[in-house]
Amino acid sequence: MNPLLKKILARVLKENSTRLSLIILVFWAIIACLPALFPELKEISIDLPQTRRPPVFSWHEPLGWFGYDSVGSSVLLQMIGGARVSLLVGISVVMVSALVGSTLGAAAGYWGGWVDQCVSRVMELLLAFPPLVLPIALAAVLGGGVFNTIAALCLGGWIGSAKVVRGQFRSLRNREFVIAAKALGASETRIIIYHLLPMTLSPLLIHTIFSLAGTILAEAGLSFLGLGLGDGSVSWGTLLNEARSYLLESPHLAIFPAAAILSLVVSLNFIGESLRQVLDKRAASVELD
Amino acid sequence: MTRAWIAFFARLAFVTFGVVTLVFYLQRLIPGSPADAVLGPDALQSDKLRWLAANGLDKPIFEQYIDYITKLFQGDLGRKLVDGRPIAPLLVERFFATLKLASCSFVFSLLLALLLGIYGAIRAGSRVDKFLSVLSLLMISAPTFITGTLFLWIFAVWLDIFPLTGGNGLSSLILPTVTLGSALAALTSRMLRGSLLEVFHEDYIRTAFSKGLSKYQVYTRHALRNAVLPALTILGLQLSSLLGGSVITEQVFTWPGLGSLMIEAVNQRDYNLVSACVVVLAFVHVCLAAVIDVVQQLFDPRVGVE
Repeated sequence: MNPLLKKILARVLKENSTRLSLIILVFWAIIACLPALFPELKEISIDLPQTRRPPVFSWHEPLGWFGYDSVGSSVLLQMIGGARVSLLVGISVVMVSALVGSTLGAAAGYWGGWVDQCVSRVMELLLAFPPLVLPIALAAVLGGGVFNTIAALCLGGWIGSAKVVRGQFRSLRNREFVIAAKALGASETRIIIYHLLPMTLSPLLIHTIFSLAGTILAEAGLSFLGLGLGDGSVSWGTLLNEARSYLLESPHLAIFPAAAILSLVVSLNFIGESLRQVLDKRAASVELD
Repeated sequence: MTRAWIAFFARLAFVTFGVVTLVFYLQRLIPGSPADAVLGPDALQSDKLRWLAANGLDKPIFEQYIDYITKLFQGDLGRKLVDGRPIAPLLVERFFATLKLASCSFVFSLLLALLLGIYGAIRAGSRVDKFLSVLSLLMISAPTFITGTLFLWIFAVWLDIFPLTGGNGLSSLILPTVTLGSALAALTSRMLRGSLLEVFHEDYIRTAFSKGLSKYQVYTRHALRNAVLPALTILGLQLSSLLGGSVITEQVFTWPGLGSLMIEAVNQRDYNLVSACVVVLAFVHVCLAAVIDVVQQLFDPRVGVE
C-alpha cells in the first residue's frame, strides 16, 4: 500500500469514534447488499393479522424482531430493503454530483473568463432556491420514483463539489509548479489531470463524504414528506413517513428507521470530520491548540 | 462605490429573473395539459380548449412567458387552480407564520450558540467541551424530522405539556422553535468555538490582557467581536434557510407556514400555487443573501464589494 495512504489511514483510525463509525458504515453497506444476494429477502408479504404488532424477541421468529407495519409486513425486511434504496440513492447522487461538479468547477477555475462566468451564474441561480425547495418542486412536477428522486437531488447536488474544485483550481493555477509544467511544454489536459487534480482530491473527498450524509438526509426528508420515491420502493424515509400516522400507538415503526438514518449519518459525519482534521492542515493546526 | 452597487443590483435582478424563468419552464415540464389537472382527464375536449383559452394557455409559450412575468411584476401571483381564489393574500398570511417561527428559532439558536460556543472555547479540552462537541455533531447530523418527532413524542404525547399541532398560540411555538434552534445552534456554536480559539492566540488579545483588562472585558470586547465575523456568514445562511427551508419542521409540527403551504399545494397538484410558493421562497432567499452581504461589509470593512 502507498505509504502516505497508510499514514493517513493510521491517523484516521486512531480515534475510537472513527473506528466505530467505520464499522457502522461497513455494517450498513453489507446490509444494503443482502437483497441482491438473497432474492427471497425482497418478498415482503402482507399479513393483516400481524398489523402493527410490536417487536417480539424470539429465535423462532426473526422477522418479528423489529415488529410489523400497518399491513403486517416485517419491519426488519423493510429496513433491509430500505438500506439498499437509501444507500443507492445517496451514492448515485453523490457520484454524479462529484463527477459533474468537479468537471464544471475545474473548467471554471482553470480557464476563468467566460467559462467561469457561465458556471458561476448557473450556480448562483440554483443557490437562490432554499435547500430542498427545488427538489420538492421537481418531485411535484416529475412525480416520484427512484430515478426522479436521484435527478431532483443531483440538480442542486453538484454545486458543492464545483465550488470546492473551482476554488482549489483558482488558487493553484498560478503556482510555481504549474508554471514550471507549462514551461516544460505540458498540455492543458496534462496540467489539469496530473498536476491540479491530485491536489484537489483531498478536499473533494472530504466534501463528498459530508455530502453523502447530506444527500441521505435529503432523500429521507423528501420521502418523509411523501414526495420521494412513491413508486412502491421503500427507503428509511418512507418508513418514517408511514410511521408518522401511528406515532401514538406504535412507536416501534418510527424508532428503527430513525435510528438507522441517524447511525449512518452520524458515522459518515464522524469519518468526514476526522479525515478533515488529518488532511486539512489549517483545521489540524487549530485542533492542536 | 456606485459601480459596485450597480453590479450588486444587477446580480440581484439577474438571479430574480432567472428564478422566475426557471419556475415558469418547470411548470411546462408537467406531463399532459394543465386542463387535465384542473378539469380531470374525462372532461370534454371543447371544455378543455375553452378553459385553456380563458386562462391564456392557448397562446404560444413565449407569449405566456411574457404574460407571466408582467403579472408577477404587478404583484399578481395568479389564482389557485383548485378553487380559483387569488394566491397573494394566502401567501402573505402563511409568510407571517413562517416569519414568526423563523425569528423565534433564530434568536433561540443565537443565544444557545453564544452560550455553548463561548463556554466551549474558554474550557477547551475539558470533559464538558468534549461532551458538547459530540452532542453538537449528533445534532448537526440529526434531521429535524427525527428530532422534531422525538420532541413531539416526549413532550406532547408522553408528558403532554405541549400541543401536538401548530397554530395554538405561544405553547405550540415552543417545540418547533427548540427543534429548529438547537439544530442550528449545534453548527454555530462549533464555528464560534473554533474561531474564538483562533482569536485567543492573536497578539491583540495578549495586549488586552497585559493592559490589565478583566477576562470578561477581553472576551466580550476584543475576542468575541472578531470571532463573530466568520460565524456571521453561517448565521446569514441559516436565517435564509429558516425562512425557506423549514418545510420539514413545519410539516412535522403542522405549523401553518409557507413550507407546509407548498406541500399542501404539491399534494393537491395545484401547480399555480406550487410555483408561486417557489418564486416567493426564492425571492426572500435572494434578498436575504443580498442583505447579509451588506451587513457583512458593515461589520468588517476588510470584506469589500467585489
